[in-house]
Amino acid sequence: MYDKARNAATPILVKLRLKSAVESMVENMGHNTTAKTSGDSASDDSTSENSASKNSASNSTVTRIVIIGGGSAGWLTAGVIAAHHGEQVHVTLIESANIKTIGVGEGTWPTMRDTLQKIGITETDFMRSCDASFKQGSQFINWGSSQMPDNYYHPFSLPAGYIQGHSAHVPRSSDLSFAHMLCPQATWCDAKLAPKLGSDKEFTGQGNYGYHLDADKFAKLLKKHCTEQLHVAHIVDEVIGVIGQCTDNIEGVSTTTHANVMGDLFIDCSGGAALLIDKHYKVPWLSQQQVLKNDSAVAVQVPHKSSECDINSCTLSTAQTEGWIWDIALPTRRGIGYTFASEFTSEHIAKAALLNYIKKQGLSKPDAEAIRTIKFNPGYRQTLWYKNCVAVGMSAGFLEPLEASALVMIELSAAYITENLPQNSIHMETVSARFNREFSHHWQSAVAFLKLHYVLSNRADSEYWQIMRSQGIPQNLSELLALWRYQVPKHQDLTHSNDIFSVASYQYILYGMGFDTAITQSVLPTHSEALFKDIQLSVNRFAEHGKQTLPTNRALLLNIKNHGIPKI
Amino acid sequence: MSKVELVNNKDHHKIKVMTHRSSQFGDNVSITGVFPSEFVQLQNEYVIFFKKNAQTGLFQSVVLLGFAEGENLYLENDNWMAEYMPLSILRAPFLIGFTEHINNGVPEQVAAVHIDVAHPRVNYEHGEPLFLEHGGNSEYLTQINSVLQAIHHGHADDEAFMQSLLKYELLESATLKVGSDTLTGLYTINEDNLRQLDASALEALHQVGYLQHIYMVMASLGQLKNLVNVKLNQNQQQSEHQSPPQSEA
Repeated sequence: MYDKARNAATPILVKLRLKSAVESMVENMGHNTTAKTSGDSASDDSTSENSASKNSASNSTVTRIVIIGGGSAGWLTAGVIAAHHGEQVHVTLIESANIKTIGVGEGTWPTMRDTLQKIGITETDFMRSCDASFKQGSQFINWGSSQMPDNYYHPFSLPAGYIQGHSAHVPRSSDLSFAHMLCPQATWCDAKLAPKLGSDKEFTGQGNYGYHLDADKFAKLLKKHCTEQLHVAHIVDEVIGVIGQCTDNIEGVSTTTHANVMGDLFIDCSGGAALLIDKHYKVPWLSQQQVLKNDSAVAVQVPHKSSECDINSCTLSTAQTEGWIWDIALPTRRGIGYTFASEFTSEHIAKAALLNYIKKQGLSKPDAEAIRTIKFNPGYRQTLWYKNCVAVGMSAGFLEPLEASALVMIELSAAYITENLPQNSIHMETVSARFNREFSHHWQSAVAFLKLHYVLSNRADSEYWQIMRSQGIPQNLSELLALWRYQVPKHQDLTHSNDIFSVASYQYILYGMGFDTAITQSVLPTHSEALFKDIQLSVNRFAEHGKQTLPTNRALLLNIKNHGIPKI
Repeated sequence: MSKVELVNNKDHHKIKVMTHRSSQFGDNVSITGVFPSEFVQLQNEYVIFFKKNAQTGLFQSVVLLGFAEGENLYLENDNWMAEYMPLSILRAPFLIGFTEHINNGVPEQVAAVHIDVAHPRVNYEHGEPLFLEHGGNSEYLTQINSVLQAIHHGHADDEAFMQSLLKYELLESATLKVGSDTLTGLYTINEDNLRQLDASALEALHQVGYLQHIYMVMASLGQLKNLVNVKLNQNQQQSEHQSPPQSEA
């Protein structure tokens, strides 16, 4: 779930220094030759140097966008901005040659289909280049209790009748789960089917879907597309200094061997290093560890059982005594990792639990050295957009791998910046204030929604679960739970119109975990019995039809490898 | 269930195949695959479209035989109402199978005529024999052989043709509404894009004969009117047939 190491063991070489005011002034005058204060004068970043001359009265237009960091965050943001604004802006991306990627599989949301289309990458190219697979949602296994096996789905399609406010009223059946009753994708995931037919054109399917992908390969594909198709200037170098006072806008950054790169808007995608937002501006990190205890993961990649075995079309998330294990199937391998809280578990024990899971899955035992350890501090930046610097990706926030919220936050941020690209610095003040309100809300909602998974658990096998269940419940979550004890969750209960986790998602988790709403007053629609029967019949019909017609996930992936996905 | 065997004069010496067309033999299909080599003959009797294979998503050329599932307007009382019959209809119950031969120690896949002996056309009494009395191929089997060969090459031709149409963005989706039937999933030539092709693209398409194929497909659309008329006539006959008897009171 991580594209960059937050790990102290693989730090980016950072020697930030503030340049003297004189040096900065010289550069701001835009004399290219004098501006080159360091290193290789034959460098090819003429775009940034030439455009530097347009600089830098306080109300100049924003045309030079500089992105620091070349993981998924950096390249996605570069792609979204460059594809939308074309020649009107210069996008330069600076990435270090020395960053190791973690490269465990990663899950996306259905939003990624839209993002890829906006950037102009075909689904066929994406699937083939990124070793990608289809994801229809998540399956949560044994989250309910530690005594009896249980599982439930959180599929990507809305529960039937959700929009009309009916889904939560449909009487629970004893033999069908909420998701199975109201979403065909639960049945399809059980049968390891793909969400689309071989004849469904690119980015369309029979159910809503996202992807599982190889994050490393994804960044490479985006890089190729951004530099070759979208004219994003690419500089491979270390950012060693920031030009500008930490109380004012950033004017540029200096690098080891290239000329200084000047800009109007800086996007910090440097991951855990947070070169600009943290090292330069010192914007505080709001740790959420009192709410979400997990701060570590051990992860490994293992080959499939065989070249014919099923490929799951959902992320498997299996609760453990002191955390949970993700299991993401790509066409060629599975990415499996144990997320845990270092306060309660040692790395050693976590690794043993991981190996035990792998063994139980019937997979071959990986080498001990192949298991990588990832450390993180769950939280987000107090101010995400400060002055002319906006943090995107892990420099902005990271909670934990649950529900794959990392990439979607990047997509949302990139889309927001693109759609509200400031004209000038006065405009930027308003845009940044609004951005900060919006994304602080997103992070808070994500914290609440992730916490929900733990709060509803009855697992009693460790102190970890007792504390995760009972301590640090955010106010917004406890209020919702109090509300839903006496009325069923409806779409309007979340007042923010574009909340990243809608009430539909809450319904899947709540009813998947057996949450009970005590309804004393009748609020049912008229003819509800016939209506509910109709809803279930149509879901059932669609589920069965899919079972007859949909290829298995593996068969469709093989077909895409051989024939691609039709464009029309 | 089908039972496919390699055609040979030992097992299939006495087998006969009924060659008239009938819904009993599964000829009541509303769509069938065709190949570019047939376009010239097809275009003044059939409407040629393109359709995606549901499994692979690959485009293939087809002709429309009816507007509803199981409706074949070319089939009337066991007669095929057209001069030319598509190869894919003609071939049943035969199909191409591959057998492994060892050629100088190297295994090779060789195309060979196979038959579905469970097909309702296959029997011992009526129709065309496969073999002559002493084991030589009958004229019918020789004819089937060339049909299957044409199909074998036709698949590769069609695939290359479709790829070219996709490359030049010459496909567009078409929705047909005939009475209460709506047909989706059909594609035809995008004439606007065709008009906008530059000289080098036209030259490239012409060189391999695809320009002719394209015009044949466009010309074939004229047959749609005839097909609709056949359908309307049928409906009329049916409704006359089914109209309730006049009250005798």
